Amino acid sequence: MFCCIYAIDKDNSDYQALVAFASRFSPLVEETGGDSVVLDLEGTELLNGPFTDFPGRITRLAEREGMAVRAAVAANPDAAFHAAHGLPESVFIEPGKEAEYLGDLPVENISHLLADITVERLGEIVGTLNSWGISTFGPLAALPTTGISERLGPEGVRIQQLAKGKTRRSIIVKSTGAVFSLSERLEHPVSSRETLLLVLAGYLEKLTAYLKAHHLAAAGFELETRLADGSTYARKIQFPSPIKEYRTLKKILELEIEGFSPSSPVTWVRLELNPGKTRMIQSGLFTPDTPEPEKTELVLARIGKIVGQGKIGSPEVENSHRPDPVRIKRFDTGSVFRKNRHMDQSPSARKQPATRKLRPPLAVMVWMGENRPIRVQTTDSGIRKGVSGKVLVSAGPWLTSGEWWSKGKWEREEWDLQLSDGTICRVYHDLQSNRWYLDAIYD
Amino acid sequence: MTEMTEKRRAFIEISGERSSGKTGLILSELAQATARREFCAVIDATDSFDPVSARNAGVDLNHILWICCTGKLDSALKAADYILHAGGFSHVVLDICDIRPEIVARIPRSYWFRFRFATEKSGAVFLLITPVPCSGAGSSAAVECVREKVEWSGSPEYRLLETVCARTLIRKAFRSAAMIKAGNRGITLENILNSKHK
Repeated sequence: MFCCIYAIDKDNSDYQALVAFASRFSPLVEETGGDSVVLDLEGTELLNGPFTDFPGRITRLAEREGMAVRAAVAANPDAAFHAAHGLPESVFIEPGKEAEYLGDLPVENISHLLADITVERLGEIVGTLNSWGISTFGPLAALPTTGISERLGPEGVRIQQLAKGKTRRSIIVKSTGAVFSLSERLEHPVSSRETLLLVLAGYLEKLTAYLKAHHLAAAGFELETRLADGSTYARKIQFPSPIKEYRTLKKILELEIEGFSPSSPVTWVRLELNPGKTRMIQSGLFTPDTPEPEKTELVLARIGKIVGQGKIGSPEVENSHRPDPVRIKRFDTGSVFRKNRHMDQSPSARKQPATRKLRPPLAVMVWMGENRPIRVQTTDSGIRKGVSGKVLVSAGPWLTSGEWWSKGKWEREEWDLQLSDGTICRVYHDLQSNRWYLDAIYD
Repeated sequence: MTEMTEKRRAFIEISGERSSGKTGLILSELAQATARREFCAVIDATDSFDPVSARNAGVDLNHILWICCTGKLDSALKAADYILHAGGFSHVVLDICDIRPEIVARIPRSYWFRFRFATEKSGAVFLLITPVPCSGAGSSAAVECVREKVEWSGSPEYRLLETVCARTLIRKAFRSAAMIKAGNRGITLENILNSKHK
């Protein structure tokens, strides 16, 4: 649960006093917007009493200290922020009832900081919403998300999520001043990678122990070195989930600097661990096994060294009509705990045969007869097997084109073919280069 | 339960020529696994995995780890070894389907035995998609996909590819055959491997 404390009389109140006041109830305090603070109350029930009474108690305690504040407790920081700013009195919002409590707030109350857009853009969107007759959170939350996305883009969707009170984010806690960094001018310059790793391993051990003492884990690390010839070598790695095991971190560091061969001796090094909260996830008894994040990170780093960075991760289909609209995003086992967005989509009405793509498309020779392909031939390409044969059945041409406004323009004529060698494939004629390519094989 | 546990630790080879329904069978299996919120790894030797097709088959892409090996067979074999030993993945698919059969046949048998032992230890299902049978005694079950017919709709001038019908033959450990349509949802390896008992 999160609590937002809003200084009503912000012109006459001392903001730092408000931050100090909030820090008495939770060590995790976010300074939001210059007139309010958001507290993470998780695990503070014994200290602060039941969450339902917390907003009222905060208001009374603040009054005694001469501060006029309004507090709201909700399941997410953004709903608490809007409730504290917009509602007439302090309130506890039951989880799941955010939309009910926030429904009557005017859309002008949406914070541009939380929506992560400029004030001008927010003003434009609010103007558009007003022109549609939408003036409060409730009707905005009731609009279909797809329609909002089409008309207002991702910013509109974010604003609608804020209106629903359904956003999910972690609060950004101001640094306590602890810096998990070690740097040193080396007494004896190091000229080999192995020796450098020994030096770094010592630093890493100290920093990991320091992090553990603060009940934190490493969310990433930054390595910077200066060489005798004046050049520098720097690496920066961010982990999907924080790691606190020294051995795992050491192995990842080792893999990261594997390709580093110093051209001249290293004279100065700095290693910094970015702190993150330790992972505390209790899996259910009947939930399937998931890969351990620490182990997975190490394995991904190892495989990344073999196949290359950017060649490993979760596939993602882009919202585009471009051929092969696919990219690879970072593999995150945390997604098992998130709602599956894809499963919300209705399945494709027409069952289509599975396809195998050829990346890059294989150039083929195509013989035409009566405006239809009659024979296709290609040679083996590297270790890939080619196709060759007479066309038994053909379907097409399917004409597609797009992005004529950019360099990624495409224009092609696709054919589905059944060949005499048994292959069922999709070939296309690139109308720009006037060449034929084998695009995919139905399998 | 024992049957399920055994299958959980199985190395299954799926072979067949092009357009014989191997990919449809694998996507169906991945769709079932990801629907159970399990994580699966696809080690793609020739970058031929099509996420669009997988999504249409019902696969939750957030639960897929895709490793593109850009035509490097040795990288694919190493990656498969790492993934199997890491554990935590319910299905590990090694796709060497588009590699020329003579190259596939040259892969040392010791790899397949190594994968089988790692599979038994990790509790995953290891699926090898290959153009020709190659794992020999290394695999715990082997299935061969054979294309039956291709269904086109529409008039000869305006045809539309509807579906590719395929037959699966159990080459090893099972003796029955099952008729499947490639890409059909609900057809899984488990159904096929159990078909003898039904």
